[in-house]
Amino acid sequence: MSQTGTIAKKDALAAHPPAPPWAELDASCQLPVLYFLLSGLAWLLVGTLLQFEAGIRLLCPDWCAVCPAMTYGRLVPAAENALVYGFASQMGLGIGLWLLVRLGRTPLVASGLIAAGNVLWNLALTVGILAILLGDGTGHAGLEMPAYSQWMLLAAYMFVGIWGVQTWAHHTSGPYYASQWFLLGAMFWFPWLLTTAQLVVVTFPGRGVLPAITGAWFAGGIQHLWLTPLALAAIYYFIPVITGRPLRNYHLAVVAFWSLALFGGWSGPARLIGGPVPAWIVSAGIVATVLLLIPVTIVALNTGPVLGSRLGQVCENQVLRFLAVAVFCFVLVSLGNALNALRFRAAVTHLSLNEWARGFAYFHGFVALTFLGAAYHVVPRLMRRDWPAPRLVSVHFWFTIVGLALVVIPAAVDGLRQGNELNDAAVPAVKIFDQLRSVFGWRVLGLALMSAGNLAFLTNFGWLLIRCWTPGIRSAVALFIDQSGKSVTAR
Amino acid sequence: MNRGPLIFFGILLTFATAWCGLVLVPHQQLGDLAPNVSEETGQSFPQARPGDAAQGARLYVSLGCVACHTQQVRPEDGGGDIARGWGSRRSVARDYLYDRPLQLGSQRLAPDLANYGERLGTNPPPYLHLYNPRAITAGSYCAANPFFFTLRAVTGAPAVDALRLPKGFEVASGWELVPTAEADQLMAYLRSLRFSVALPEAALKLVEENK
Repeated sequence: MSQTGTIAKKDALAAHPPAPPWAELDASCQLPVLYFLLSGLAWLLVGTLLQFEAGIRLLCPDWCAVCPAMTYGRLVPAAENALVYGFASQMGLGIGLWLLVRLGRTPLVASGLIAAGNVLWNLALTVGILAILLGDGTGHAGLEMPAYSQWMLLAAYMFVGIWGVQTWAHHTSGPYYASQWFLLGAMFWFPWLLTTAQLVVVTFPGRGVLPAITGAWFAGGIQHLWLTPLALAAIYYFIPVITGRPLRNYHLAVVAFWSLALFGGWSGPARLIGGPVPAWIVSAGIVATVLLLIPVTIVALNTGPVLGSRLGQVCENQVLRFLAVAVFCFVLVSLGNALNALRFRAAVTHLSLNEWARGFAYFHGFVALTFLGAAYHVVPRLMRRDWPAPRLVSVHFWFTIVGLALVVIPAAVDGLRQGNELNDAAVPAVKIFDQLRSVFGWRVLGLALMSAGNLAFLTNFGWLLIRCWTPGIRSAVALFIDQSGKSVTAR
Repeated sequence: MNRGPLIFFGILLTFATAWCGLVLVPHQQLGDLAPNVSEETGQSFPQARPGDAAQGARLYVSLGCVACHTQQVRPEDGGGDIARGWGSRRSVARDYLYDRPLQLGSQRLAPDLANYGERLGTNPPPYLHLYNPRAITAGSYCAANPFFFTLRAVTGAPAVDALRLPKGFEVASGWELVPTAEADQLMAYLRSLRFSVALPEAALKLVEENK
């Protein structure tokens, strides 16, 4: 009871009086949000373990070599798809739905159908990942899951997207918040991105390099118009709510949103630099990638001063810690991406581990940490009960941060050497590649730590659910045993 | 910003600019790109891959070789690919007319293969590397693919295409490793990787040998 009381009090503080019926609102979205968060977390563990296994394959290439399903080239796309569609998309949607309910002060529309969409989504994804591992991947970068599983994924998304937008439209209180713009944008852009890419790249591929151009547009879109707005929606809600301070320079947030919407869509082709595509396409991508610094700067101006003024709270609060590191990674990686999109830098870093490290830090540092931090805030409210093992939250945080550093820093540093030496024809290629081994060693160690951290979160989550459901299960058992016929309330 | 329809309209419009610019316009520009017919030799480039190489391409895709091996030669002012001997000119859109799916790659953890067939020349294809890269390059982290070979007892004379395994990798005496049809297809594909043909949009560059 006391735990529930604490949460209710916190919510009351965060809200404007009179407090809306949070309990009712939470109950309306409990099932689908819980499904999305739980399956997202499970896919995070699966994805990180697949990445870990891929790292092992680089260190011990002869181990398990008879099994083509465990070959490096299949583990890598399997892991990426599990992380993007399994973990980040599902966690982002779960947290996004919860935010729509909270910010709109309106119950979730058709929560049963959304939960059904979640089941279909996981089914589509399981089929897709298995297909990649068994050799039925499409081979299109970023769209490796076969067409049948991607169309299924799109159908599953429609359950969520349609009712999510409905919930957005039922919004009852005042002006729309920044989080709501980001969520609406993401929910529209994602199906458009996936449908176009499916049609033009996988199902009816164009000639020659056309699928690569559309694929690059899609990859940029998934990064900046799907994962980033979902994560920013969470950041723009949780930081002011938890610190109890309004965001600084909030009037600029609208510029951040529209500049992200515009430049995010154009940024993709920067990853084709030096490739066999018309120069104007790459140039457009470079310009957009550099201009993405506008929304990034605004996010820093909005959240930085708030986090800076509450440094003590940031260090102690389980949620804020994750979000603060996420914002830091977002700004740092975006700066790195803008700098390395320039042609003279790209000549060195493009196709090197430095580029890979930035992608990893963006995903696992910015996107993943945001959703994980947000989940630590959302789940106790949904279940009306605090985390059973707060210490495991710290374990998760530190394991993830240290793991992230071990993966990213050596790769970013050695990637520069790799890029420079590859441009120097006097250095034999074999020597350059051979020296990358130490990076792979750190990568495996880091991913092991990150997997352990994720396991700590899942343990905490499972423990919480068991505690919540134990009284219900016990009373059901008691009812069954003594057949007394008394009415027993489960909750 | 409190007008729902306005936000919605803006969201569609901003997205539509990039969609038109990066999906529609490139299809307009490159959709009817055709092979180039050389005025001197009358030969057309690129050419569709013959059946076995096309089959090999599917294996290449299925195994995800692209995770480490790129297939793109960057221009001289955008990297050292040409100086390294990975191609005699930059790769251009026309080179990939018959590549589906494209295997450009985004990571170089291993040599570029865009012109591997050219580099191979008349040498025997790298069956041994396919079987176990460590048999050729000690310390390579490339995946071994023993499932492309059949272990069988030697009957009469050893097979012509049986692998000649170096020390440390031998099979028991009286046995030999023979490539499967799939291994042959993969090798045919690797041999087909070449674009050292001058095109109107990309002339060949003379490169000093770097060994």
